[in-house]
Amino acid sequence: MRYDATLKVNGRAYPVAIEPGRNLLSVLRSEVGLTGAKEGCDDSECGACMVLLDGQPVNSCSYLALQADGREIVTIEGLAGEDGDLHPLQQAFLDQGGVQCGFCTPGMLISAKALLDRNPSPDEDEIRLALSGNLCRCTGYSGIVRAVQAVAEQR
Amino acid sequence: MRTFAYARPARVEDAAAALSQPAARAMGGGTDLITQQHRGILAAESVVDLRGLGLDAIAAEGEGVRIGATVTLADLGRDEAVRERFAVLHQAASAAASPQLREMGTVAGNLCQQVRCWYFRHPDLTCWLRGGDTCYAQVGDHRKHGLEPGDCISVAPSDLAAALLALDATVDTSSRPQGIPLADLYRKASDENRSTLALAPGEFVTAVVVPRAPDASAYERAGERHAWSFALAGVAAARFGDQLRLAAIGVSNLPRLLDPADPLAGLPGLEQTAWKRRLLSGLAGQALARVSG
Repeated sequence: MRYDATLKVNGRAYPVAIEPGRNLLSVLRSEVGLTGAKEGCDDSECGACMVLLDGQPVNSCSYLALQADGREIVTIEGLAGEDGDLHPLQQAFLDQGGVQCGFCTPGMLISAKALLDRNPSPDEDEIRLALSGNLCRCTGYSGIVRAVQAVAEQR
Repeated sequence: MRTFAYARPARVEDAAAALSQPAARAMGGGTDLITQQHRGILAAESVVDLRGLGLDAIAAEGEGVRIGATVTLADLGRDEAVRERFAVLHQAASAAASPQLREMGTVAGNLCQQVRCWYFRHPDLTCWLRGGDTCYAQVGDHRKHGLEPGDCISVAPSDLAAALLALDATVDTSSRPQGIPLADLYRKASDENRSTLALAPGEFVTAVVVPRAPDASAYERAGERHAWSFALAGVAAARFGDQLRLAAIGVSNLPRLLDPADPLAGLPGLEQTAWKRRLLSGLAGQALARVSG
């Protein structure tokens, strides 16, 4: 049986009819058509699927789409400005070498945005803790931490 | 994933009725339930989302605190009054899982999560706890398992359970609103009933009540890394006057109250887990030192 729901993603409302077992990630990628959030482990381990739900980061692979009905969802596609200008975090990731293969990057950016929205000037420990649910197998994390620090210092 | 019906009732009675149906499961944040369902190790036919019940408040009650079942671990970890008066609870809530999973996971869900065991969670195996004949861990790899022999040697993983057991908390349920001791939420699984939760069909946790604040409390935990790993062992200590309460997870099939004078009593260790006795002893010593007056 399908259930009607309205997913509010990046400020737009998407009416969807979905099976209860569908996770938020798959509905975002298939029905909504936003493929920025990635499926890595599909088990809440890696964080590649991270999205903001009412401002808080959640692993969308292990979250039912129906649980997000009516709540505000922000995906990586919602970070850049409408004119295409990168979010300061996105630019900083590029400037600081926080991106290599790029698979973890959408999730990293979402967790980093959630942190800075809550705590505009985190120290390194707070940054590493906030990103501890996001795994990166390329960068060694240093560039990512530097990028978040750089944006925090600009603020 | 196997499909299921989904309900998000607004009243406790409606949730209890929905949960009385066969193969119905209660859901808080879904972080454990959905991954089990997804792997095919759980076959819920209906999922009852408890987060529409308004059980999401943290409120002072008498000399203690009442915490709603669907309060998230993140909100519990951020609560200033809890941090000041119930340090062990703050520390346990802030140590569980990852920051992101703490935004999803709920207090009752954390208490009621299934054991950690790679055989239990293997999609192709039906171990004893899942209704089969064999505890594969006992004949296989059980390095991270319990210290206590039994039909199932997997470990209870809930950090909150250790903290709340040390705090002598009670649990309110939908059919027992007067509350039961936290220890009575759990039971030893048996051949006839493989559940480690002592809840009747349709019954679910509605709140946790800590009756009074300890004079001092602390949580000590060891994982494979500091963040986002299940506890290899966790020990909670609370001191009420000259009375000490000590509780552990990660060492036994159920959250376990320890004797402060002899924390290893009744936990001989298994072939591959003897090393955990040293870990438990160390964590217990550290936790007790932090609450000594």
